[in-house]
Amino acid sequence: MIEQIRKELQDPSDLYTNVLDNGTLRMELCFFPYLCDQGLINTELIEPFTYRFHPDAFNRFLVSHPCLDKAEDPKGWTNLLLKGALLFKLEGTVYRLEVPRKLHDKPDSVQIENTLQGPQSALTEDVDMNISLVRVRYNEPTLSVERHVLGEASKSRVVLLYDVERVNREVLELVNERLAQVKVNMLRATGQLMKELSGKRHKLFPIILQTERPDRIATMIERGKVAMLLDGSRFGLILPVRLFDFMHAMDDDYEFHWMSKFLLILRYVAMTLTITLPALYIAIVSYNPEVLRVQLTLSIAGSRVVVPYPSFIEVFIMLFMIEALIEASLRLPRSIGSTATTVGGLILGQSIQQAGLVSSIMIIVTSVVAISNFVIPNNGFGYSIRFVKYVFVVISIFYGLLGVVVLFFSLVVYWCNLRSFGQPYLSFFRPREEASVHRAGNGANEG
Amino acid sequence: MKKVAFLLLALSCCAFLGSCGFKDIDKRFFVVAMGIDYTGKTETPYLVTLRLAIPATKIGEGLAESQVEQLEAPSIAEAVRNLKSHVDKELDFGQCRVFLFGQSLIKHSMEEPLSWLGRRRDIQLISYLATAEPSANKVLKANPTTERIAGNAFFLTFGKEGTISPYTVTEYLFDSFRRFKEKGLDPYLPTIRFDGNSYVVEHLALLNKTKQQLMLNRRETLLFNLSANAFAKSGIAVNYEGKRLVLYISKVSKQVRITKDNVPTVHLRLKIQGMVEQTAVTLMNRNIPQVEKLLENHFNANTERLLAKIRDAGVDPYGFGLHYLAQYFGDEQDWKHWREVYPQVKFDVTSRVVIDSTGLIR
Amino acid sequence: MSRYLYYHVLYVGMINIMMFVPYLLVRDRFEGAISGMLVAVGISTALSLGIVACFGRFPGMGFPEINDLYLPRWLWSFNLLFGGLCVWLPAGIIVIYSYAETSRLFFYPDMNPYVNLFLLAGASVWASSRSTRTVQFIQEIAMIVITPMLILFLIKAMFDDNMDWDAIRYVAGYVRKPPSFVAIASGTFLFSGYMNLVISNRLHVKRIRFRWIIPVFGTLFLAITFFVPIGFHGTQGVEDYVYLWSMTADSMALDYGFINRVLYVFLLMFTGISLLFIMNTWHTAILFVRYALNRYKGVEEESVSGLNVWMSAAIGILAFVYMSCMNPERNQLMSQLWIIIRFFAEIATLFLMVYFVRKRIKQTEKEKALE
Repeated sequence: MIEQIRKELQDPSDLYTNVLDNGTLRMELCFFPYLCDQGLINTELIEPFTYRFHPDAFNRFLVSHPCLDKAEDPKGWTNLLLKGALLFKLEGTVYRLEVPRKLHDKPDSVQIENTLQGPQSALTEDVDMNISLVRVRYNEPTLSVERHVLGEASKSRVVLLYDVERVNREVLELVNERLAQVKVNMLRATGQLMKELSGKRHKLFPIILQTERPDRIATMIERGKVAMLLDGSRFGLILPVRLFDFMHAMDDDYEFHWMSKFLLILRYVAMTLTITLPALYIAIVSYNPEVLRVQLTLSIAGSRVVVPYPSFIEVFIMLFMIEALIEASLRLPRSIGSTATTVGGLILGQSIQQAGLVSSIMIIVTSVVAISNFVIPNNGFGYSIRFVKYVFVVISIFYGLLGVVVLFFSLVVYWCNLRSFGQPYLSFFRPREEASVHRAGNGANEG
Repeated sequence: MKKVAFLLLALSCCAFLGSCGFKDIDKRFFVVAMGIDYTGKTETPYLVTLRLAIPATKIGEGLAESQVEQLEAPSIAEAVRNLKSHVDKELDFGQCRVFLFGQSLIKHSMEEPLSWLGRRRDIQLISYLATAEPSANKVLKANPTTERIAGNAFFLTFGKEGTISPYTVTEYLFDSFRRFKEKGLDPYLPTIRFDGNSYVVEHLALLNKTKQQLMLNRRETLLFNLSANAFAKSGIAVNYEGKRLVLYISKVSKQVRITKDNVPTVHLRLKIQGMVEQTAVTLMNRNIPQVEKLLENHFNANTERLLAKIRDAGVDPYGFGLHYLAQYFGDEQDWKHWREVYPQVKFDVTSRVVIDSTGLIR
Repeated sequence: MSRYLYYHVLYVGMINIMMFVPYLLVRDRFEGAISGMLVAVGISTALSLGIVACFGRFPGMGFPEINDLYLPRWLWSFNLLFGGLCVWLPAGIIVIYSYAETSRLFFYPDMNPYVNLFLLAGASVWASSRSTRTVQFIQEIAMIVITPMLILFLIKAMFDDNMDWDAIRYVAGYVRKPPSFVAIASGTFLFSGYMNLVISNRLHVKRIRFRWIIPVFGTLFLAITFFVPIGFHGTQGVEDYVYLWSMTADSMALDYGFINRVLYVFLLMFTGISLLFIMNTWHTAILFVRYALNRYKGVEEESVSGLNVWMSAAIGILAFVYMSCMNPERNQLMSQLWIIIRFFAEIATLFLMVYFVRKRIKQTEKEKALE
């Protein structure tokens, strides 16, 4: 066995092989020491092998051990080894012992979707750990865990989690269909998987929710959605989703009712502001200054007196600045990050206005846009919103206020037209039965 | 190839920006008030004065800068068009909320200014109208000392956001359009003048369908505002036991009934509630009915005199004619009848004054 | 869900302003508009309740399928093509023209009218080519966004101090005149939101509740659309305005807030309402024609069929053609013509539906007898 494996793997230097003999039995074994948990190997295999001299006793141990199994197909051996299994040959039979090294043995702490008083544990990069995190929170016998392996080279484990009784069957079928179609060589992050599953490449908005919170996954499974975990990624995917799910922070479920409702409304207002404000600035300044009341118009006019170019160039300059600032503070090491914000935000913001390159109202608009954008709880959705505002800016250059309003209508049309795995993306609550009628009535409706 | 085509399309779009009416706010001159005077000349009968706000980076008391442009022309529209060549930025009437008409104009005719105002799409129908004393030109050239934003003093004077004075009757443009056309309802305009550091609005000009017929003085204006518009936050005064007693009015309600006699009688009923604001006499509960009675009689007599005066001037700013038609669901015949008998119409004012309190002391 | 029907009732009740209904009514205010409106309320109540009840007999079926069941091919094809191309399609085109002109007048009078139409037509073409279910969702979201503005506007309009109740009362006194036909026809238009059932009944499988909403809202909107302008502009001045309701909205002021003029609230609100109306009428027209072509009756398509897109693009081009041969006066005439055609079409629809229902009842009786 050892020779064959060495040959298949081109004789790697990190493969450990040995032949053990305890006097009665002779065992060939091989494993990758850095992929396996050596302590486990000691307690689970070496110690029994060393102390149970009687072959019967050792055989009973072989049959009863939960992590032990026969590995009869020689083709699978290398794969098993690379997944962190130990192979040993005893009296002509090859066994495997699953002793992968666990890099993560406790839940991560939340980094992106912070809550104040909710659970602080997040998914880890270990899929087994993640499953247990979800199971702890959703402790129902109906929770189904389905395994898939994706990726030609990475052979990543993907796990589907759903409640058998609550899940929407059609969605599940569609997910399995799409999973089967996934053709990818290296699967490194859930984001990749999200792109592969979403179908069309040019979607403006995410139709799958990415989260790091096991409590969110548990809540969503309880609502009949499908969750997906990927080994090696500390994010889970949830589908199908609606727009409202992206605007929902876990805090809303945990905090005082009225305040969380108020915050929810605030988030929608913030979203509207961040999309439309730069466009409205152009519309008001260049097309319809008569819309605002006179005092406000005159103060905007006053602040713009010194600016030497048209409003949309001003807007593009400031939006470029703020995007660059966000991007820079994201990529920089944390210790330098604050310098970037100080230089960009304070010094530049102040002096660009004093130099008369940008009006002070525009500085306010820019900051409101940036702050409102960060209010959106989901990062992926926030990115889409960040992009969409440029479309609004462009239309307002040509059509002013009316353009902004018509484009907002079109955005609603776009959202309503989107389907997340066959389910509507933006619509108000629909009772389940009605949804099923629509599905049945699709195409062939006979009264 | 596709991308290049898209880029070209985007660039050509930019080229046609000009046709979309793209004009930056700092390239516009906002007209904040407009004045129209009648010069009496046959060649150029109209003098148009525009007050333009100059956008300033600093805002502070008395810092409001504005530019006044004026021009005489055969018509208002021509005057405005010619004025465009006097300024370096585009004139924008979108924020113009004050229109002043000189005394000479409203004594002549309001027809032309109204037709110009009605046809312009950018004129707000909620603009304030007023007549200016001695002329619109003079009033617009004056600079109130405390103005922070050009034209703001006008907006605050006439609007409800700033001062609320019982002498200021606010007249909107749409209301004037209505009154100049309506059967049995005639227009009026407040009168504005400048006293050296601020605007004063306390008289009211009453017009028939074309020009001014009567000018009310301070006292009459207050009384009109109280009885026609049921304007609270006002006051009435009377001499009581030789001392002046002033009642602050907090609530007024008004009711008009017109009899269908051959010569109709207009019954105007008012209920006035308020509190005593000033008197040197100590008021006990027993003299309150006495005071109320006194105020009622005084008020009734004054109002009846005012109504008769207005009737004799041949105008109907109260809208009694319309009310007559409405009350009896009248038709053309009734309207003809009303017009014939209006000069003889009798008035009967009954008021009920209720003193809620005597202030903090008796 | 019943509520989807009432969104139609709501925005169709408002859109009359773009169809020059206030103008038509006000023109006849001394010649039988009031009595005409009263007759219209009666007729519409009967029509709306009747048609809704008839559609209730065919749960989940649209007008095309019901036609197909009981009529020969040539007749139902004619019905659908006439309904789609002569009633539903022109409605959207008239409204897109009048809204494009209104908005251009108040937002940017210097702009080329075709450039402005391009914006509105683009959005409408895209929206109307979506699937029926998507259209229904759009409806709901748009109505929810619009409603706060609508409520603000209606409250402003009804409780403004500057309303002259004497003028309203005086005009109301002319109820004694015999009703004018145009007033009846245009009055019934305010109620006809329920006509959208011809397609959206495919989505209604349950009994529609709260049907009283249709006559109540229709009457309310009819009263507002006619009396409020009279209250603001007087009995005489009201006839001078071309864009009657825009000017009425401009007569109201918001004392507190960013915006001073209610006119802009009104225009923004009507952007939404007009687009909704255009989307729905064109969508219905498209689906009628599609059924006539290949008997398509689906309500959900994840990727919209090319036929939809091509047809709605053609309609969009038609809107440009319409704009090139119209001016505001001719458009007013067209809308009057359309209102009258629609009035008869609605009555015809009622009779057809009653006929279908009777057929169906007979059929079920026969089936029972066979069993």
